[in-house]
Amino acid sequence: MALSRDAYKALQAVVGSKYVSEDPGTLAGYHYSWGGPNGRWQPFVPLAVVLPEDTSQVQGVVRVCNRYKLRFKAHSTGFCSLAFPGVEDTIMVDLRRMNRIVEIDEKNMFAVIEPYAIAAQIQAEAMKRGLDCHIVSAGPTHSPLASATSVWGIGSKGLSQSWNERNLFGVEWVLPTGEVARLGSPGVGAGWFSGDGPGPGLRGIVRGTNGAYGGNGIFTRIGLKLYPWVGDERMECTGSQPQIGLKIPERMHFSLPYWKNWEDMTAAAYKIVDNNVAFSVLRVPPDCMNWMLTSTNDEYQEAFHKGSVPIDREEHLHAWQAIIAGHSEREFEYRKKVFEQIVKDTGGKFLQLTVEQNEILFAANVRISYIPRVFRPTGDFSTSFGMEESINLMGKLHRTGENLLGKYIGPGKLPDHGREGFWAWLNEGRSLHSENAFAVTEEPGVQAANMAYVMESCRVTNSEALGVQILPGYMGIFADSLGPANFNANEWMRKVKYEVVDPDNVADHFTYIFPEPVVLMPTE
Amino acid sequence: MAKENLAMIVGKDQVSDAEQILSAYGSDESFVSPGLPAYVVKVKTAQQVQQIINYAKEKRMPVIPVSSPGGPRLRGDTIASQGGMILDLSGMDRILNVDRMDKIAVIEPGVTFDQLEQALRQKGLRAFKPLLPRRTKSVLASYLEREPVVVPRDHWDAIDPLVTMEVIFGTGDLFRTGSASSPPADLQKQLDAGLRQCFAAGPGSTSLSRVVQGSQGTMGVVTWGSVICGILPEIDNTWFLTAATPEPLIDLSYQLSRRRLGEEHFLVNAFQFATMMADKGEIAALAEKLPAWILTVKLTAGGMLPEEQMAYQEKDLRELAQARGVELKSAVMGISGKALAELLDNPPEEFYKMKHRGAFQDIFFTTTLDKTPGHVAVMEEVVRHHYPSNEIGIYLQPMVQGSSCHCEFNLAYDPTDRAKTSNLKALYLDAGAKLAGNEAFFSRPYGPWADLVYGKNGEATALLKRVKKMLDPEGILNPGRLCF
Repeated sequence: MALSRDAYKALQAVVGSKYVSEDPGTLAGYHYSWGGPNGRWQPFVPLAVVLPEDTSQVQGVVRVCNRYKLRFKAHSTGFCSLAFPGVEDTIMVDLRRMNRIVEIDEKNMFAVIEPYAIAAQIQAEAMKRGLDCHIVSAGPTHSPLASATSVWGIGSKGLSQSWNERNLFGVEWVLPTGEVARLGSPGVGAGWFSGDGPGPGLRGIVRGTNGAYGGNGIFTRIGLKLYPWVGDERMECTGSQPQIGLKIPERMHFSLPYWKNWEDMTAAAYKIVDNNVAFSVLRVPPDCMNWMLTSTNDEYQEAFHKGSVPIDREEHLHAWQAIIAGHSEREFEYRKKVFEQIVKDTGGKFLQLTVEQNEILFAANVRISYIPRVFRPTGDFSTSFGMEESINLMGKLHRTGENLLGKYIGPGKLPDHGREGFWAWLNEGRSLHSENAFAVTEEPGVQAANMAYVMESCRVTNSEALGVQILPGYMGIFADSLGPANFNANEWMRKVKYEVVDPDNVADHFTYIFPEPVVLMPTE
Repeated sequence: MAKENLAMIVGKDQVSDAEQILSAYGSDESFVSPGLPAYVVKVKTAQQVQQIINYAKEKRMPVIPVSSPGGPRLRGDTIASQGGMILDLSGMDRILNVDRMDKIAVIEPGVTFDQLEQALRQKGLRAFKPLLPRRTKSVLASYLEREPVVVPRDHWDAIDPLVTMEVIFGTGDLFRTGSASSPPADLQKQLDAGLRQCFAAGPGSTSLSRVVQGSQGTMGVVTWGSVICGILPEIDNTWFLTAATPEPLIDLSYQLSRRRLGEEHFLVNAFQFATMMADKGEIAALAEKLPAWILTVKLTAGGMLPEEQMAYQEKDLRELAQARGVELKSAVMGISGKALAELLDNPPEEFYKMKHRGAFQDIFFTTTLDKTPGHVAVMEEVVRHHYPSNEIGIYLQPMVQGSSCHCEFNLAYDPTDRAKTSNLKALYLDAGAKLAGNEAFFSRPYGPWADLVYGKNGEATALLKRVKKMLDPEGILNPGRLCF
């Protein structure tokens, strides 16, 4: 269907004619992305794209969609195909003009942000005030508003910064019906410091382990929790592109201890959290660390085949990257000393890296800038076994993931980049985040193997009692496959979408929950 | 007929319509109007809860869940304003698991802080508690009500220390939240597999536990929950920092939060401190002698090198205090930090707020710490000529790692003095309205505060009503509360 002229004029009236486009060249940018099941060109071209500049314009656009029976899809920094239309007759609401950090409340450690304020920008401003923002795995160019309200929101500094589902304070939300709801303290004009109450916490219908990826409306402003930062106000870059590092500040220390097996590494993890000595603790697959430490695929391949990569797939399999930080010199020295003792007591050793290598990995940990290197081998990747549960499950998670992934690697199936892509980190010292990421390509055989593997991994995580799925998670077509094993969570999502927030299904449901069940493959 | 039907579910002895039993639930310490239930029904299992809810749904009978095994009940949220039944969950009092490694416990709703604390100590753990809870207080009820805990450092998010839950909605559906929703459904089998119910969000793209929390029993009945716990320290030292005005201590509190220094910390005025520490009849006298404001900080150390850990913390704390011209004290007016720590660990039999005049009303809300001097000024203006301002207890509890603050004013009164009681009721309502006008966020809107907040935010209120309709379509769960 083409956009009616009346609808087009109505959109122009809301945002101004300069900020509505149905130019095919412009629209092409809104249906080309990695991560879709059918290659890079996504199946649906939006009818038009609009760029509102504030909440009232967003509200106006949503009302136009309701009036003309159109659908809309909210889009901020747009990490993957989930950010693009999944259904026909969609108006793309690109929020890039709403890019302000409205406020940083230094004392109370939160920021008030709009959808296109990116993490790098917020982090830079926060660091000037001795604060830091949680940056998710999508990297420093991501929208923290999107990750806190609508997407996964997980990042490797979870030990000291939790994750963005829990970092969400006050919420301003344009519902698919066109009303604007303000959740928590901003709802009564008290500021943005709380998103819970009065009474029940409606944050619980904004999102869960996953968000709705725009399927429940458009979030236009939030309060975002910030965290203490003991490093420099302005970080000093070292190296040269693409091997950029950060000078490690005083009272911060980066190291890479490794152990002989998962059990010893797990024991160390429990001691680290019990003694509260680390700022962040992250496990990265050895290959991925080597991607970070080489500047091109060719350089990596050459080093790999010569056996000269710094991180060995076998010897350094069970390794944490750890950052120790202290608010005072005394605290820093105490933590470093205890940390080193923990490594020793649990049979670990420290891998000796060069200053340059340490600075590159330190930068990747602070800015969460691993993601370009994850894309580097094939230009695409997928993930599985995205779990969040007890630290004690680490070994079991890794072994199960490795064994299963191995079955799907081979000619015509998944490319061989090693059998494991196990990322893990400690969240708040209370749980373990894990996921098994792996390289894919756009070839149909690879995509088919990817889908089959991911669905089987969902079944296996259930049958092996590994916890609740975050990744790939409840995205549209997966929800009705996963939900029955989780007390019919899919049916509650459906009620939230169609009974509570969007009875006319105006917000694109494709990445959230379909009106009727769509079961790809039972996972019970 | 209803009594017989209910008895078929829970057993004859577990249903009562005796006036003496009913009247114990008919009123409480709040200003909420009394209301007598028709029945009190005691349950022991989730299955019984589910059957009761299904029966009540069919009969459109109000169900008011109550978990704490004893009073005093304080907030009016368990009064059967529209009749129906009290669903007494206090008999569901099993501690289903305690795990030292993951520092988490799974408990039923009838478990009290006393009971949990004893079980945790055996495993080297401790409960995260609100300030001097009454000894009969249900842990899950406290956490579901978002009562602030005295440990801001470990309070990452509003839902803490609650993690996952099993809940039966007003629809009659049994649901599990967070990682407790993952297979296998049997809790023991989950535990045997190494699962610890330690992740709160989800399942899927909703986190319905957040909706149940703060709902005053209007969305669902929780039949067990997992709760995070702290490690029992090997060494602990409780310090006082005092000042004539709250500002320097507020500044210090922000620094403590930012550095995550100190496990417990909170700020009280002299009268609040005296109410906590003095014997009945000696409160006013002690308050007069105390410094006007007292910041309490409990430093703890354990694990590896605890002495070194304590030493650096004390030096850091001392430096922070000195930089603000505040002295670190191990005692105030002969009351040692150790004595306060012991009291916090072992709250007295008598609920401390009742001590001074036999009854009290507390006015509390969420704000940020820097705004609290303004709220104190509003309160002092409200009570002028109506209540002695030097007898207001003030308690400021940093929450969510210092990003917000629970602000509480305690007003004691003699319930046998009708004139003063009536006066206090008017003052209570007036103060609520004026504080709400001063950006106080009544995030836990008990009694009359519900009108203050729900009237102000139409769209969110409408959204909340639709959520209520989804989870409790017949409106049987605690009707008359919040905006339902």
